[in-house]
Amino acid sequence: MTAPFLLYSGIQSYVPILILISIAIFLGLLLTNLSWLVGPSRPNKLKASAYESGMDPVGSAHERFSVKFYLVAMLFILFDIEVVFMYPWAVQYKQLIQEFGIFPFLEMLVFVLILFVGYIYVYKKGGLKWA
Amino acid sequence: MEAFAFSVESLGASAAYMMPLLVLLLTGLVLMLLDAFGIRRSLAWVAAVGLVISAVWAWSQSDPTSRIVFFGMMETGGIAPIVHVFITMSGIFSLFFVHDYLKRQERMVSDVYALLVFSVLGMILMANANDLIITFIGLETMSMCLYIFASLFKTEVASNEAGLKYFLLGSFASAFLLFGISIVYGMTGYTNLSMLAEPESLARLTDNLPLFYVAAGLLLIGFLFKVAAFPFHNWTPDVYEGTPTPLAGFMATGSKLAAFVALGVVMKRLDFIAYDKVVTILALSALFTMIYGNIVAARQTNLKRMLAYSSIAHSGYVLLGLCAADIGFKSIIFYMFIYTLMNIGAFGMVGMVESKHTDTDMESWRGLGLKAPYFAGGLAIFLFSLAGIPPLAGFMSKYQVFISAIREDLIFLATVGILTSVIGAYYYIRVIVLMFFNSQGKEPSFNLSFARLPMAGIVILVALILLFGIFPSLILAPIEAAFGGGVSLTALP
Amino acid sequence: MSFLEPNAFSYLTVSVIMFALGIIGVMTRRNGIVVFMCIELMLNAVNLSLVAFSKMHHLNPLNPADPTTGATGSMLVFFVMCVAAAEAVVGLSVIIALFRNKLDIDINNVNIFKW
Repeated sequence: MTAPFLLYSGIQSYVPILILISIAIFLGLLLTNLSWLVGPSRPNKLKASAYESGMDPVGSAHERFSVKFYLVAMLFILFDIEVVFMYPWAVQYKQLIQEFGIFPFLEMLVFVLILFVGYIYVYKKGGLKWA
Repeated sequence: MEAFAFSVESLGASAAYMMPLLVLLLTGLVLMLLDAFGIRRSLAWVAAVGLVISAVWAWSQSDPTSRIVFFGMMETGGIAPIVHVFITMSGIFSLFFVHDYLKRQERMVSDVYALLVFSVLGMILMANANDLIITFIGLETMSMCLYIFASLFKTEVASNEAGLKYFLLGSFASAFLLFGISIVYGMTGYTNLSMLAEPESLARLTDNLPLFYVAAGLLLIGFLFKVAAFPFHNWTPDVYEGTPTPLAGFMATGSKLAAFVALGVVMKRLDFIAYDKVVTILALSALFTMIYGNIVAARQTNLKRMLAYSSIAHSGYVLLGLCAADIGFKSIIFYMFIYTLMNIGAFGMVGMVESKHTDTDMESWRGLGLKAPYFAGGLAIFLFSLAGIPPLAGFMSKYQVFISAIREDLIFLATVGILTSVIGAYYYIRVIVLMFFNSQGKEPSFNLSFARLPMAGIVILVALILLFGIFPSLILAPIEAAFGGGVSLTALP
Repeated sequence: MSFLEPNAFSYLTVSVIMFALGIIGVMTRRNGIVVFMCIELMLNAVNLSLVAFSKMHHLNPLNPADPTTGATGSMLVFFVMCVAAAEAVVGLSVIIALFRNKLDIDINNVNIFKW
């Protein structure tokens, strides 16, 4: 545990990131505040109200989301995260094919097939229906 | 130390040994598809067939010599087949009661069967793992299904709350387990249990003792939570009460059996028994679990909560067995199998008369023995067995654990165990007295016409409890053989 | 300037701090979703330590005969990420189901059962 090891060539390698972050912060602040600095400011009631296709605004903007968003988001997370298993496989794919023939391809096919069963289940159970 | 090399040939050889697990995976997938396409009439039978095939296949591969397959990931020889069979049996016996229970609650949640098969798969992965990664994945696979079981009736607040409690506390505990695995990996460079058992790795662990104790403590927290042992038992009664009753029986048996075997294997490989401090922690946990579980169970008025607290107490006896090294490890596998039979029976019978939440109050069971003597008699046999009354299997299992503890010079713990099981006898027998001898002219208002399938399950379970109570060697001999001889367990002459 | 160079120990320190923050969050927060986020923080703390250990064993293998020691940790990280995602889905479902019934996810109000 005590043996120190070098992950990068030291703290210096972070300098470009630091520069990038400071430029990003500066630009962001500049662009958002420029109009406030330069533009004229003559507010009235109509201008201050929220724009809703020309109608009078109805209700607050901070309403609760429909639970359906959560359902879709959760399903997205599930199928999204499975890709992490494909990354190492894809990186090594050429080498694996040379060494073990068609086998690595079939292995990933089985994995995707299992995911597909999950997808059919979700689809048939109505998890993707919006209405 | 030699690494496990990858080759397609070795994979082919491994695949043959992995078939029992693959059967479970396939069964689960088929169940999901059947459910999705609306073919829901015989899901329970499909699940049962899959579990039975898997168990028979695993049993046919039993072999006393330990055999590591799948590039060091899984163990299939030694105790693995017998553990596989015991865990699958827990699933099979639960199936007897699940369908009927859901039908009477008018909540036909058809996903239950796929989840049950997947959780059995997770338990087996966890118990038979030869790599801490697989232990963790198995534990999570199992837990994920159990969280859903706890919150199965999604329109009921009780069920939601049980699920939320189990989920938050359970994932909290598995984070500890994971950190323990991470530290062990950091210290040795391995997560593979047979690599960790090599002297070089063990030496690396002992090199930095404080860090090792941290890792051991974190691992123990994770496992002790799953088996509901003393400082981490609080979730048990609430979760079991909110869970559909037969599934609570499944939770209390299969998952504990898996967690205990996994803990036992990790303890054996990392040689926890050699470190006094670790053994002391385990022993203290066992002591308080036995005392706490039994005393609090004696004060319960709700049958389901009483069974939940008594399952904490039983965890205490099994922990006592774990403290007793190798011979204790054998005795706890026997204990957990017998416990599986009687506990699934008890939970299943409570579920059979339960049509609403209040039905599990002990008062409403008063006089059941006069109205339905055979039914109450069956429950009495399960309760007598849980209490450890001689001709029944529950006595033999307790006897084995206490004897193994005494052999390993854990006299004090064994004495406490015996004394607390006397308290245990009190609260189990109190229910029997309520049902048969103290009716006070009351009769239960339950609907006592039972479906055939759960009745068949009860008959089988009672028969097995009587059989293994009189001939314990039917189970002890295979366990003994699985360990490849060694220190022999003591059966009554 | 050796203290500025990241080594396994510094990563482990950060990881332990994150883990501790997660524990404190679980113990003190009352909102179910925040408690769950703290648990995710704990899992990610472990991931950090695993990646650091993995790199450490890769650069300085304890057993040179076995080239896989470094890879094991990174592999476990993938599985932990996957498990965390599955946990998120199950956990959020449970929390949403509770919210639909009670319109409240304060875990102090999860009290139907006497503790």
